[in-house]
Amino acid sequence: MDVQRALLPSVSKAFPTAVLVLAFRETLCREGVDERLFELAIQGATKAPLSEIVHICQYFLDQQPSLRLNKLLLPGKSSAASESASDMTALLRQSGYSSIIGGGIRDPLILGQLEHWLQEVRQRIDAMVETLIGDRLAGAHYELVIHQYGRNAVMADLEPDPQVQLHEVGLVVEILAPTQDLASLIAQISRQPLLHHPIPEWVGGVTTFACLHNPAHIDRGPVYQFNLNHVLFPERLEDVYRLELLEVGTEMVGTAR
Amino acid sequence: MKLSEAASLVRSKNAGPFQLTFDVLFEEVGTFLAAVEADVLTPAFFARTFHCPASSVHVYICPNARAIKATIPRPKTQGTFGDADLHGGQQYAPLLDLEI
Repeated sequence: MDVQRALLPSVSKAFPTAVLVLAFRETLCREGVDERLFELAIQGATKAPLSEIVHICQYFLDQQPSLRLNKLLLPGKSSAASESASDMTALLRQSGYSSIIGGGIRDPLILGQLEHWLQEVRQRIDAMVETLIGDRLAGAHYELVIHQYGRNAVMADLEPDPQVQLHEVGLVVEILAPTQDLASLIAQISRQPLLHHPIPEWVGGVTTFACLHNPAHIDRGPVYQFNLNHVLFPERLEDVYRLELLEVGTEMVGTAR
Repeated sequence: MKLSEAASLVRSKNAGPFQLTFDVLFEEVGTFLAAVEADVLTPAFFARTFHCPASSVHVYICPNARAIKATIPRPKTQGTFGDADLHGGQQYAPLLDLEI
Protein backbone atom coordinates (compact mmCIF):
# COMPACT_ATOMS: atom_id res chain seq x y z
CA MET A 1 0.00 0.00 0.00
CA ASP A 2 2.83 2.40 0.85
CA VAL A 3 4.45 1.66 -2.48
CA GLN A 4 1.13 2.28 -4.19
CA ARG A 5 0.70 5.63 -2.50
CA ALA A 6 4.27 6.61 -3.31
CA LEU A 7 4.33 5.48 -6.91
CA LEU A 8 0.97 5.98 -8.54
CA PRO A 9 0.84 9.78 -8.47
CA SER A 10 4.34 10.03 -9.93
CA VAL A 11 3.54 7.49 -12.65
CA SER A 12 0.34 9.36 -13.49
CA LYS A 13 2.29 12.61 -13.63
CA ALA A 14 5.01 11.14 -15.85
CA PHE A 15 2.47 9.80 -18.33
CA PRO A 16 -0.45 12.24 -18.08
CA THR A 17 -1.99 11.71 -21.50
CA ALA A 18 -0.96 8.24 -22.54
CA VAL A 19 -2.64 5.88 -20.13
CA LEU A 20 -3.85 5.64 -16.59
CA VAL A 21 -2.11 3.24 -14.28
CA LEU A 22 -5.09 1.94 -12.43
CA ALA A 23 -4.23 -0.69 -9.91
CA PHE A 24 -1.61 -2.96 -8.55
CA ARG A 25 -1.32 -5.24 -5.62
CA GLU A 26 1.38 -7.13 -3.82
CA THR A 27 1.22 -10.84 -4.54
CA LEU A 28 3.81 -12.54 -2.41
CA CYS A 29 7.00 -11.84 -0.50
CA ARG A 30 9.82 -14.14 0.38
CA GLU A 31 11.86 -14.18 3.55
CA GLY A 32 15.36 -12.84 3.14
CA VAL A 33 14.87 -11.88 -0.51
CA ASP A 34 14.86 -8.22 -1.39
CA GLU A 35 12.27 -8.59 -4.11
CA ARG A 36 8.60 -7.75 -4.03
CA LEU A 37 6.18 -9.12 -6.55
CA PHE A 38 3.35 -6.96 -7.77
CA GLU A 39 0.51 -7.09 -10.22
CA LEU A 40 0.03 -3.99 -12.32
CA ALA A 41 -3.01 -3.08 -14.38
CA ILE A 42 -2.91 -0.36 -17.01
CA GLN A 43 -6.36 0.89 -17.92
CA GLY A 44 -7.05 2.65 -21.19
CA ALA A 45 -4.06 1.10 -22.93
CA THR A 46 -6.33 -0.06 -25.77
CA LYS A 47 -4.67 2.10 -28.38
CA ALA A 48 -1.27 2.66 -26.80
CA PRO A 49 1.54 0.95 -28.70
CA LEU A 50 3.28 -1.81 -26.82
CA SER A 51 6.52 0.18 -26.81
CA GLU A 52 4.77 2.84 -24.74
CA ILE A 53 3.49 0.21 -22.30
CA VAL A 54 7.01 -1.17 -22.03
CA HIS A 55 8.18 2.37 -21.29
CA ILE A 56 5.60 2.78 -18.53
CA CYS A 57 6.49 -0.59 -16.97
CA GLN A 58 10.16 0.32 -17.15
CA TYR A 59 9.43 3.58 -15.37
CA PHE A 60 7.44 1.71 -12.73
CA LEU A 61 10.22 -0.85 -12.18
CA ASP A 62 12.92 1.81 -12.09
CA GLN A 63 11.24 3.53 -9.14
CA GLN A 64 12.35 0.73 -6.82
CA PRO A 65 14.94 -1.90 -7.76
CA SER A 66 13.23 -4.52 -5.57
CA LEU A 67 9.99 -4.47 -7.60
CA ARG A 68 9.09 -7.38 -9.87
CA LEU A 69 5.96 -7.61 -11.99
CA ASN A 70 4.24 -10.95 -11.54
CA LYS A 71 1.31 -9.98 -13.77
CA LEU A 72 0.74 -7.10 -16.16
CA LEU A 73 -2.93 -6.63 -17.03
CA LEU A 74 -3.95 -4.68 -20.11
CA PRO A 75 -7.76 -4.66 -20.01
CA GLY A 76 -9.48 -4.01 -23.31
CA LYS A 77 -6.33 -4.37 -25.35
CA SER A 78 -6.65 -6.85 -28.19
CA SER A 79 -5.04 -10.17 -27.35
CA ALA A 80 -3.57 -10.06 -30.84
CA ALA A 81 -1.08 -7.73 -29.20
CA SER A 82 0.28 -10.80 -27.45
CA GLU A 83 1.90 -11.71 -30.75
CA SER A 84 4.30 -8.90 -30.11
CA ALA A 85 4.57 -9.66 -26.41
CA SER A 86 8.16 -10.68 -27.06
CA ASP A 87 8.77 -6.91 -27.14
CA MET A 88 8.28 -7.16 -23.40
CA THR A 89 11.68 -8.85 -23.15
CA ALA A 90 12.89 -5.23 -23.11
CA LEU A 91 11.86 -5.42 -19.46
CA LEU A 92 14.50 -7.97 -18.60
CA ARG A 93 16.89 -6.15 -16.32
CA GLN A 94 20.55 -6.63 -17.08
CA SER A 95 22.28 -7.45 -13.83
CA GLY A 96 25.81 -7.16 -15.23
CA TYR A 97 28.45 -9.35 -16.84
CA SER A 98 29.61 -12.72 -15.64
CA SER A 99 32.78 -14.81 -15.70
CA ILE A 100 33.22 -18.28 -14.22
CA ILE A 101 36.01 -20.63 -13.20
CA GLY A 102 35.45 -24.39 -12.96
CA GLY A 103 37.56 -27.02 -11.26
CA GLY A 104 37.86 -29.34 -8.30
CA ILE A 105 39.59 -30.29 -5.06
CA ARG A 106 40.75 -33.78 -4.09
CA ASP A 107 43.08 -33.21 -1.09
CA PRO A 108 41.30 -34.70 1.98
CA LEU A 109 43.05 -32.21 4.28
CA ILE A 110 41.49 -29.28 2.40
CA LEU A 111 38.15 -31.05 2.05
CA GLY A 112 38.10 -31.57 5.82
CA GLN A 113 38.03 -27.79 6.33
CA LEU A 114 36.44 -26.74 3.05
CA GLU A 115 33.95 -24.17 4.31
CA HIS A 116 36.58 -22.41 6.39
CA TRP A 117 39.16 -22.57 3.60
CA LEU A 118 36.72 -21.12 1.07
CA GLN A 119 35.91 -18.28 3.46
CA GLU A 120 39.60 -17.43 3.65
CA VAL A 121 39.92 -17.69 -0.13
CA ARG A 122 37.02 -15.27 -0.52
CA GLN A 123 38.57 -12.81 1.92
CA ARG A 124 41.85 -13.06 0.05
CA ILE A 125 40.11 -12.46 -3.29
CA ASP A 126 38.29 -9.40 -1.91
CA ALA A 127 41.55 -8.01 -0.53
CA MET A 128 43.43 -8.60 -3.80
CA VAL A 129 40.62 -7.06 -5.87
CA GLU A 130 40.74 -3.98 -3.65
CA THR A 131 44.53 -3.71 -3.92
CA LEU A 132 44.91 -4.47 -7.61
CA ILE A 133 41.84 -2.93 -9.28
CA GLY A 134 40.18 -0.94 -6.50
CA ASP A 135 40.72 2.26 -8.50
CA ARG A 136 39.14 0.77 -11.62
CA LEU A 137 36.17 -0.55 -9.66
CA ALA A 138 35.73 2.91 -8.10
CA GLY A 139 33.30 1.59 -5.52
CA ALA A 140 31.28 -0.38 -8.08
CA HIS A 141 29.66 -3.48 -6.70
CA TYR A 142 30.69 -6.99 -7.68
CA GLU A 143 29.40 -10.35 -6.48
CA LEU A 144 31.12 -13.68 -6.20
CA VAL A 145 29.60 -17.06 -5.37
CA ILE A 146 31.34 -20.41 -5.08
CA HIS A 147 29.10 -23.36 -5.91
CA GLN A 148 30.33 -26.53 -4.18
CA TYR A 149 29.23 -29.46 -6.36
CA GLY A 150 29.24 -32.68 -4.37
CA ARG A 151 28.41 -30.85 -1.19
CA ASN A 152 25.52 -28.38 -1.45
CA ALA A 153 25.66 -26.63 -4.84
CA VAL A 154 22.18 -27.55 -6.04
CA MET A 155 20.22 -26.42 -2.97
CA ALA A 156 22.79 -24.05 -1.38
CA ASP A 157 21.47 -22.69 1.93
CA LEU A 158 18.40 -24.92 1.70
CA GLU A 159 20.45 -28.15 1.55
CA PRO A 160 19.21 -30.26 4.48
CA ASP A 161 22.23 -32.59 4.43
CA PRO A 162 25.42 -30.77 3.37
CA GLN A 163 28.12 -33.42 2.90
CA VAL A 164 31.02 -33.15 5.31
CA GLN A 165 32.77 -36.43 4.45
CA LEU A 166 33.92 -35.46 0.98
CA HIS A 167 35.97 -37.55 -1.42
CA GLU A 168 36.18 -34.87 -4.11
CA VAL A 169 34.30 -31.62 -4.70
CA GLY A 170 33.64 -29.65 -7.87
CA LEU A 171 33.79 -25.87 -7.59
CA VAL A 172 32.27 -23.28 -9.88
CA VAL A 173 33.30 -19.75 -9.00
CA GLU A 174 30.87 -17.27 -10.49
CA ILE A 175 31.52 -13.53 -10.68
CA LEU A 176 29.10 -10.72 -11.49
CA ALA A 177 30.48 -7.25 -12.24
CA PRO A 178 29.30 -4.08 -14.03
CA THR A 179 31.43 -4.73 -17.15
CA GLN A 180 32.87 -7.82 -18.83
CA ASP A 181 36.40 -6.47 -18.38
CA LEU A 182 35.91 -6.19 -14.63
CA ALA A 183 34.22 -9.61 -14.32
CA SER A 184 37.07 -11.11 -16.31
CA LEU A 185 39.75 -9.38 -14.21
CA ILE A 186 38.14 -10.42 -10.92
CA ALA A 187 37.99 -14.01 -12.19
CA GLN A 188 41.69 -13.88 -13.06
CA ILE A 189 42.48 -12.47 -9.64
CA SER A 190 40.38 -15.24 -8.00
CA ARG A 191 42.48 -17.91 -9.65
CA GLN A 192 45.56 -17.19 -7.53
CA PRO A 193 44.04 -17.68 -4.03
CA LEU A 194 42.10 -20.73 -5.28
CA LEU A 195 45.31 -22.28 -6.58
CA HIS A 196 47.58 -21.54 -3.68
CA HIS A 197 45.81 -20.46 -0.50
CA PRO A 198 47.62 -22.47 2.21
CA ILE A 199 46.30 -24.79 4.93
CA PRO A 200 48.23 -25.19 8.22
CA GLU A 201 48.82 -28.93 7.63
CA TRP A 202 51.19 -28.32 4.72
CA VAL A 203 54.48 -26.46 5.00
CA GLY A 204 55.53 -24.64 1.82
CA GLY A 205 53.73 -23.88 -1.41
CA VAL A 206 50.92 -26.19 -2.44
CA THR A 207 48.57 -26.18 -5.39
CA THR A 208 45.13 -26.50 -3.89
CA PHE A 209 42.76 -26.43 -6.85
CA ALA A 210 42.52 -28.43 -10.08
CA CYS A 211 41.62 -25.99 -12.84
CA LEU A 212 39.42 -27.41 -15.58
CA HIS A 213 40.60 -24.92 -18.21
CA ASN A 214 43.52 -22.75 -19.19
CA PRO A 215 43.00 -19.80 -19.16
CA ALA A 216 41.02 -20.75 -16.05
CA HIS A 217 38.11 -18.37 -16.55
CA ILE A 218 35.30 -18.28 -19.09
CA ASP A 219 33.55 -15.00 -19.92
CA ARG A 220 29.81 -15.49 -20.02
CA GLY A 221 28.81 -12.08 -21.36
CA PRO A 222 25.78 -10.09 -20.18
CA VAL A 223 23.43 -11.73 -17.67
CA TYR A 224 19.85 -10.74 -16.95
CA GLN A 225 17.16 -11.16 -14.38
CA PHE A 226 13.40 -11.56 -14.72
CA ASN A 227 11.24 -8.53 -14.01
CA LEU A 228 7.95 -9.69 -15.52
CA ASN A 229 6.16 -13.02 -15.44
CA HIS A 230 3.09 -12.78 -17.63
CA VAL A 231 0.85 -10.37 -19.52
CA LEU A 232 -2.95 -10.70 -19.43
CA PHE A 233 -5.44 -9.21 -21.87
CA PRO A 234 -8.80 -9.38 -20.06
CA GLU A 235 -11.80 -7.71 -21.72
CA ARG A 236 -12.47 -5.74 -18.55
CA LEU A 237 -10.37 -5.38 -15.40
CA GLU A 238 -13.44 -6.39 -13.39
CA ASP A 239 -13.16 -9.84 -14.99
CA VAL A 240 -9.96 -10.34 -12.99
CA TYR A 241 -10.36 -8.24 -9.85
CA ARG A 242 -13.00 -6.82 -7.60
CA LEU A 243 -12.20 -3.12 -7.44
CA GLU A 244 -12.29 -0.64 -4.65
CA LEU A 245 -11.62 3.02 -5.44
CA LEU A 246 -9.29 4.99 -3.19
CA GLU A 247 -8.34 8.62 -3.19
CA VAL A 248 -4.57 9.16 -3.06
CA GLY A 249 -3.76 12.86 -2.83
CA THR A 250 -5.68 14.40 -5.67
CA GLU A 251 -5.41 11.31 -7.85
CA MET A 252 -8.24 8.82 -7.96
CA VAL A 253 -6.76 5.35 -8.16
CA GLY A 254 -8.03 1.85 -7.76
CA THR A 255 -6.86 -0.96 -5.61
CA ALA A 256 -7.52 -4.56 -6.53
CA ARG A 257 -8.80 -7.16 -4.13
CA MET B 1 6.91 -46.13 4.14
CA LYS B 2 8.95 -43.30 2.61
CA LEU B 3 7.32 -40.94 0.14
CA SER B 4 9.92 -41.92 -2.47
CA GLU B 5 8.77 -45.57 -2.20
CA ALA B 6 5.06 -44.77 -2.16
CA ALA B 7 4.95 -42.30 -5.04
CA SER B 8 5.39 -43.11 -8.71
CA LEU B 9 6.84 -39.65 -9.29
CA VAL B 10 8.17 -36.81 -7.14
CA ARG B 11 9.31 -33.77 -9.06
CA SER B 12 9.88 -30.01 -8.88
CA LYS B 13 9.72 -27.39 -11.61
CA ASN B 14 9.54 -23.66 -12.15
CA ALA B 15 6.02 -22.22 -12.13
CA GLY B 16 7.11 -19.04 -13.87
CA PRO B 17 10.27 -17.26 -12.74
CA PHE B 18 8.95 -16.34 -9.32
CA GLN B 19 7.43 -19.61 -8.10
CA LEU B 20 8.47 -23.22 -7.66
CA THR B 21 6.04 -26.14 -7.82
CA PHE B 22 6.19 -29.73 -6.58
CA ASP B 23 4.21 -32.70 -7.93
CA VAL B 24 3.82 -35.96 -6.05
CA LEU B 25 1.95 -38.59 -8.10
CA PHE B 26 0.72 -42.03 -7.06
CA GLU B 27 -0.04 -45.14 -9.09
CA GLU B 28 -2.49 -46.59 -6.55
CA VAL B 29 -5.45 -44.90 -4.89
CA GLY B 30 -4.45 -46.61 -1.63
CA THR B 31 -1.00 -45.05 -1.42
CA PHE B 32 -2.38 -41.68 -2.55
CA LEU B 33 -4.94 -41.78 0.27
CA ALA B 34 -2.27 -42.92 2.74
CA ALA B 35 -0.12 -39.93 1.76
CA VAL B 36 -3.07 -37.55 2.12
CA GLU B 37 -3.90 -39.13 5.48
CA ALA B 38 -0.27 -38.79 6.67
CA ASP B 39 -0.60 -35.02 6.11
CA VAL B 40 3.15 -34.45 5.72
CA LEU B 41 3.12 -32.22 2.63
CA THR B 42 1.79 -29.25 4.58
CA PRO B 43 2.40 -25.49 4.29
CA ALA B 44 4.36 -25.78 7.55
CA PHE B 45 6.67 -28.43 6.03
CA PHE B 46 7.41 -26.34 2.94
CA ALA B 47 7.79 -23.16 4.99
CA ARG B 48 10.33 -24.88 7.27
CA THR B 49 12.22 -26.63 4.47
CA PHE B 50 12.32 -23.84 1.89
CA HIS B 51 12.43 -20.82 4.24
CA CYS B 52 9.25 -19.11 3.09
CA PRO B 53 6.14 -17.94 4.94
CA ALA B 54 3.55 -20.73 5.38
CA SER B 55 0.93 -18.27 4.16
CA SER B 56 2.67 -18.18 0.76
CA VAL B 57 2.53 -21.97 0.30
CA HIS B 58 -0.35 -23.46 -1.69
CA VAL B 59 -1.03 -27.19 -1.35
CA TYR B 60 -3.50 -28.88 -3.70
CA ILE B 61 -4.93 -32.37 -3.17
CA CYS B 62 -6.06 -33.71 -6.55
CA PRO B 63 -7.92 -37.07 -6.14
CA ASN B 64 -8.76 -37.36 -9.85
CA ALA B 65 -5.04 -37.28 -10.67
CA ARG B 66 -3.99 -39.21 -7.53
CA ALA B 67 -1.64 -36.29 -6.97
CA ILE B 68 -0.55 -33.81 -4.33
CA LYS B 69 0.78 -30.53 -5.64
CA ALA B 70 2.40 -27.65 -3.80
CA THR B 71 3.56 -24.25 -5.03
CA ILE B 72 5.93 -21.99 -3.08
CA PRO B 73 7.76 -18.74 -3.76
CA ARG B 74 10.93 -19.61 -5.67
CA PRO B 75 13.88 -19.47 -3.21
CA LYS B 76 15.64 -17.23 -5.72
CA THR B 77 14.03 -15.69 -8.78
CA GLN B 78 14.95 -17.84 -11.77
CA GLY B 79 18.32 -16.84 -13.19
CA THR B 80 19.12 -14.38 -10.42
CA PHE B 81 22.87 -14.30 -9.82
CA GLY B 82 23.73 -17.36 -7.69
CA ASP B 83 20.67 -19.40 -8.71
CA ALA B 84 22.08 -22.88 -9.36
CA ASP B 85 18.92 -24.64 -10.61
CA LEU B 86 17.56 -22.70 -13.57
CA HIS B 87 14.63 -25.08 -14.16
CA GLY B 88 13.98 -25.67 -10.46
CA GLY B 89 14.12 -29.36 -11.34
CA GLN B 90 16.29 -30.67 -8.49
CA GLN B 91 14.67 -29.09 -5.44
CA TYR B 92 12.50 -32.07 -4.44
CA ALA B 93 15.10 -34.11 -2.54
CA PRO B 94 13.90 -33.00 0.95
CA LEU B 95 10.47 -34.54 0.19
CA LEU B 96 11.77 -38.04 -0.51
CA ASP B 97 12.34 -39.30 3.03
CA LEU B 98 9.03 -38.07 4.46
CA GLU B 99 7.30 -40.96 6.24
CA ILE B 100 3.73 -41.69 5.24
